[in-house]
Amino acid sequence: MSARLSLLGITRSFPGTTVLDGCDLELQIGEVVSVRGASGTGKSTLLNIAGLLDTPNAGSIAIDGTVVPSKASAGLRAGLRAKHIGFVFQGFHLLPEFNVLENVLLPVRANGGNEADRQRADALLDRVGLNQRRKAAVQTLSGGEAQRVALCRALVRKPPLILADEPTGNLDPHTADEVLQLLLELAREDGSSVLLVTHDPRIAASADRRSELRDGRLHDLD
Amino acid sequence: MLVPYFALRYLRRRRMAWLALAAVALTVWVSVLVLGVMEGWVSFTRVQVRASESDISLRSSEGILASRAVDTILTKHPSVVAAAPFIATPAPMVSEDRSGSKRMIPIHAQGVDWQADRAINRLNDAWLHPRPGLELSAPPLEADERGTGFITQDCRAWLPLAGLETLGGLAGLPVPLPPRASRFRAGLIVGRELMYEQGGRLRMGSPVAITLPDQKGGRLGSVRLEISDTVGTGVLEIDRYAAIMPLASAQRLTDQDDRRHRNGGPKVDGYRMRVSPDADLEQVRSELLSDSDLVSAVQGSRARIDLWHEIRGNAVRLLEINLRTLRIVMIVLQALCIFTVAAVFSTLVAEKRHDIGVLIGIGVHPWRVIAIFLLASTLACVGGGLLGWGAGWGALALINPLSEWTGWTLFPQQVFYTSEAPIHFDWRTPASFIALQAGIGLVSALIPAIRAGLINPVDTIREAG
Repeated sequence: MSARLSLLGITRSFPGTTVLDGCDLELQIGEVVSVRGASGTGKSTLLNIAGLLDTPNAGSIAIDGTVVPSKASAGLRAGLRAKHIGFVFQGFHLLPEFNVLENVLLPVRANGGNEADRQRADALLDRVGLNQRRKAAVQTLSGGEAQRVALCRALVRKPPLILADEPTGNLDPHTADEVLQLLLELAREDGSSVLLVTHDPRIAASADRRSELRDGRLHDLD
Repeated sequence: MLVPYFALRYLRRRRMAWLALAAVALTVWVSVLVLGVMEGWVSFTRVQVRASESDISLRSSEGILASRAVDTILTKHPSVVAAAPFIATPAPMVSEDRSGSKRMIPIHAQGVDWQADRAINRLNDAWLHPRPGLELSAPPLEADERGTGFITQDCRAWLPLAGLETLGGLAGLPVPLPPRASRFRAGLIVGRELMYEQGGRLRMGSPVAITLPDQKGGRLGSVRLEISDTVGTGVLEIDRYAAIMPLASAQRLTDQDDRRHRNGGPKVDGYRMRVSPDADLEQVRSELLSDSDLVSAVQGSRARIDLWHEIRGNAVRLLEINLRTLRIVMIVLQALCIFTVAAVFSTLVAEKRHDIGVLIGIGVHPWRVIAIFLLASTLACVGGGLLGWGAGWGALALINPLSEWTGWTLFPQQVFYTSEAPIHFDWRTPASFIALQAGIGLVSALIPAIRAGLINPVDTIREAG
């Protein structure tokens, strides 16, 4: 059985520095893997490459056994993201022009979803306790609420792979725990794999498998 | 549905987008307003010129026999609705005022057959009896202030008595009538401006003499007439010189009457014709000129056929040149919107950089991002165009009522010879501007939209933290 995500020999350099130097990572179906590392070690760069937002200088990426061509167009990469990947960012990245429900439904609108997707959006909002605030402007939400909306947006189309970049970085410890539990619960219910990038050892510990990014390479901690 | 969803949302929520819409609406409004008035002038002048000139006319410098045969030949053509004989010549008119002093007035003398002229839509009711003066919208002369066409006031007053006398005579009961003061003269219908410009020297009932000199220092013919009515075609150069008399009087004036041409019969300068509205004037001319019966009937005269715009088309042509120039200016004005719309959408893309990054991040194809901004700008331009259309037509509809209400005259009638601004509502003008604006919307947002499509989501996510 092929891995959900496979990164092989990923190298990413910027002028004057090499951030990733032959990183390998395999993420199985339903598995939650955390990547820890100090600031500036390339955690977000690794996540951007895994999410096809960035292109490595060397190495290959495969999603569900299908290798992404190294010269894949922006359109092809966008299509793969829409089909396979859900993102949760530290900064929430909700669109202020739209209300809570509209933000959750963005991937549905973007990729031609159906009524079932809309019902799922309602169900997710209900699940995270925001159904009463579905018409609220996102500017009126607290940090925890905003991250829960971002969670719903990432999960609304049941993506097989969830990439979370410091999902609790802007939250207080209590809210951070709540949001993390929600993320893991919802991902497990859908059978989604989660790649969790964090600098917080406590958050990292909640994963099935832990690794650390150091000197441009990933090291297993378990 | 993502593209229209986002395009409409950005248009509704961003004040910046409203600025583009307002700029487009303003330029379309100005263009519709200016061109509506200018097209009104062209249309107004065209109608006036065509109304005062027949569609086509057969004329000859040697005169054409005024026979029913010619009339029949002309009207048998399927496109010729009616024909009317005419004589037209410049001539001096001498009037005598109450003090006995004489005054010579240059006129354009015309002899017409009343019924035939009405059949070709000249001397129609809308033209007759206008009140001489500066107020063009003043009510026409009352019946007791004028004669009736070529019938003078005195003659009209005497006609019932003459009828009574005739009836009495037939019944063997002679009716004693008051004696007539003198012979009745034929009536002369003068242009309203001609009458107005002569002030009190020309009045209803004024006797006038018109003499046409010959080339030997003598006179070709002379008639004495009495001013019986007024005419106003709406064309200043006609109304200032028009002096219309019965055809027989004009034949005597131009020495084309039957007295001198007993063998040939009376002549006229030509025939004016009204043709059916859908007829091709060039084709009608060509067919008439090749009609052997007509060639035979006008044999010996150097006859030619003129179309209305060959005789009096210069006024219309001049205005059409002005209209086309204005159209070019207005198209350039529309094109200037490119800069406004481009600036607005560049700013909008810069403002929505984060949104765009998120959209591309969640898997929206960059082409769809480009399409969002292209659709938004096209909708803004088309919406602005529709708004400008409505506002433009509204302003056109209000020009004359507002002018009347405020007393502020856009086109003073003493200069422009019309009592109100001529307005023309032609849907093709705003429709073409809206189509142009749709193109401008696409072109002007192209660069900002492409920039949006090239946004790297990693950068925007990092910028937003």
